[in-house]
Amino acid sequence: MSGPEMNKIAIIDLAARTVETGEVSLDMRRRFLGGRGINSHLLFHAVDERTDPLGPGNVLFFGAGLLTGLPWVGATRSSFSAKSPETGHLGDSAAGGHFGAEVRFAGFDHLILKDRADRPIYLWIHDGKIDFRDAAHLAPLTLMETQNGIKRELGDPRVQVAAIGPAGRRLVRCACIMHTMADAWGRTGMGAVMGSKNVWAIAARGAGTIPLADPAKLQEVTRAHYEQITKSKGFLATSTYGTLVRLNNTRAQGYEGGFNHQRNMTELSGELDADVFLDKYEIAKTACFNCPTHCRHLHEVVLRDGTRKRGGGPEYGGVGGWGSQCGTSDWRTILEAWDYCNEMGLDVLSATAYTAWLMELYEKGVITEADTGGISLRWGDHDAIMGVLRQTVERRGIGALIAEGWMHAAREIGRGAERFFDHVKGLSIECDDVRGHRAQVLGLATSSRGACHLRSRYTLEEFSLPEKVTEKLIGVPIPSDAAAYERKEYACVWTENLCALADALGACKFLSKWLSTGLLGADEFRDAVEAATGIRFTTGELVQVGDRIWNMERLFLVRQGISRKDDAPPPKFYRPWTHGPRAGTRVEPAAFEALLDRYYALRGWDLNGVPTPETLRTLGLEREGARVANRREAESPGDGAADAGKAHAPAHR
Amino acid sequence: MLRLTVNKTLCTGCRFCESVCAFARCGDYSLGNARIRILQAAIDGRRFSVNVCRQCAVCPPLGACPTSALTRDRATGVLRLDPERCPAGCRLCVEACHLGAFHDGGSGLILCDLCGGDPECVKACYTEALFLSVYRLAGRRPAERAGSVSE
Repeated sequence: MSGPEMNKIAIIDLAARTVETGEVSLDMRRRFLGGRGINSHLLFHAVDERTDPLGPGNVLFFGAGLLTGLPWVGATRSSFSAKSPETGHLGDSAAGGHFGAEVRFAGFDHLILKDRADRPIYLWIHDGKIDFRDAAHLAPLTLMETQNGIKRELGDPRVQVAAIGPAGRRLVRCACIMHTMADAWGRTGMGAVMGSKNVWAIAARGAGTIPLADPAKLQEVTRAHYEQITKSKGFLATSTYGTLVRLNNTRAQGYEGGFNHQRNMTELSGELDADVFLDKYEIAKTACFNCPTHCRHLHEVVLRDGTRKRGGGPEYGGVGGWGSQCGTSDWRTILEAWDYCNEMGLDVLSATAYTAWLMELYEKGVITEADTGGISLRWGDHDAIMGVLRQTVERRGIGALIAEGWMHAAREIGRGAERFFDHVKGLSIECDDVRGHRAQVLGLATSSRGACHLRSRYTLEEFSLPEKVTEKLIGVPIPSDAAAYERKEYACVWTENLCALADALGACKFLSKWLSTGLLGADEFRDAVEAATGIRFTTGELVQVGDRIWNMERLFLVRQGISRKDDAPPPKFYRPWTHGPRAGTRVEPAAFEALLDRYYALRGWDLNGVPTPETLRTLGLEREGARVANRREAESPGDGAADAGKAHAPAHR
Repeated sequence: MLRLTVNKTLCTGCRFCESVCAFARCGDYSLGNARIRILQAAIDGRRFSVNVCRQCAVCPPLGACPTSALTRDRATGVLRLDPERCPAGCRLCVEACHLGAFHDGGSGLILCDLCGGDPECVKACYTEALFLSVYRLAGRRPAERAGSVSE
């Protein structure tokens, strides 16, 4: 059995500068595993619907996955969770690299950052101890300089750092937390939460011991999974191109998405191709902890002003976002914007979506140079893209609005600006245009943290797999036609549970069945968990953990007032595709609503998207369910019993 | 004679070699037991340092060790560090080694011993940045794969 040594949780009170350590109970592990699972459970209880995301009442959770750092393939990922300043509800983001593993070696699995430090600090986690160190001298530094500076200051090149950049320190709402050159806890503005707590970085280093339940078995399991991954069909593509593999796919199949989702295909030059990047700019490949796939690029580019610059990445989301969505095919512009975001600590996916949105507003005449601080936001213009990013980080011109989030910006701009922003539950959608893939549309709509490709995108839909294959995989034959609606709810739920499971274990989705049928799935996860920790699950029980995490997050959303009306794709998806072999494809409202009904039924939710008491009982979430039900009852108008409990007098008195 | 050879241009910094090395030797898993260590001094560096014993034909620590804890096996040519004879705090070998091959383990210094001829790290290295090559100690002939070695 796993010893308690590997189960430490640190509750860090930043105002009092005290650290309290506790242990994660076996029951908690069985119910939520770790990482995103435990984070979402703790977050639900730590904040409520009135918590100000940037106030001291918000709590920032760090969680390494249950298998993160172990000698297993691709055991890399860890999550930061808090109430999101960008969307106002569930905030959660995962990243790979070496940070999660190093925090575990330093002696902790979970960190809970409470309250707010009175002046900028960074946390130094080593050998089971947590020190508070002054960080004021980091103020002028970019993220690369911050990380290198802390490594030098602590005198150990093996220190791993997660830090916020200038954007996070200035509380830009789409700021991210960064590690190395391009590993980002990007979405939902976790960097702004960290900035609001005056914690500018977390550094970790340790050589602690992690006891393993059955080392020989784990070695065997790891060897088998290693073979499975490296011998899979897609391995060559993923290890050569990384996520850029999707750049060529989406283009060839006609759903690259362009000009802020006004078109599904662009006629930009062929420069925007993964091979061009590899030939001209890539100088090396790097990998996350224990991962054979080495999907990450290291690039070097000569910028327009002649300076030579080195950076990590890019990934597909950024290239498509500034490429087809903002209308440029110039790699130098894309890489400059990408590197700028990474150095400043801006979430690339939000930054690209905001830029494309402003460009459409400019095109439609909703905003002019008077609003933009003098920038002409023409499609594909280098100065426009860089101008928006710089203004956002520096909080001036149009950037002052963007820094407060798109909802604030849309209110300030007025003139119907919000209609042009494509989002789900407040979070921008990615650059690709998936309206022709029904399970993906459903996944986009139901995703818990808002539009997201890493929570609920049924990627396999793009491969038109035969029904026999999907039946074996999912248990239900999924139509191989991407445009079909039938039984797609099963694919969506399967993906959501798998993703929740992967995030809780610290497994990378790029090595999982999320990407390709030959990679790791729940069966493989089960074997690794049992060998490493001694906790026995059947595959069904493990999948149920994913289900539990998903319902836990749903309860958080229900408490925030999110319901069926928010489980919808962006309005643009109801309009037909304009170009390509499948022109005319659109989301049919009636068919989508029926699909959503079936999804709710499969999840065990009512028609308003609220988990039913029976569902919660099966998952052991009655207590949380009751809390949400009480809150909803207390707020529903016209309910006498609830009104009696309210502080203010009813209207008729 | 066998030696571990490193092609740094292929190293991706995944540290799987560290993991399997630490793991192959004891039930409890701690990277402090790894005899190979990868590090990156600056995060924007292009290359990773690979600190592991390469079984050099000329080994300065061999001459520096005052207690003969460090020896070379006559039959296999593999260097061996005897923890029994290695006094704590001496660390002359650490200073003498140009490759940073001596590491602090849980109880004293540790050194790669090629896992008895079939190193786990070489099996785990997917990009083949680590591989075994054969050299002759006496004849001073170039190693068989010297052409592809960066160092």
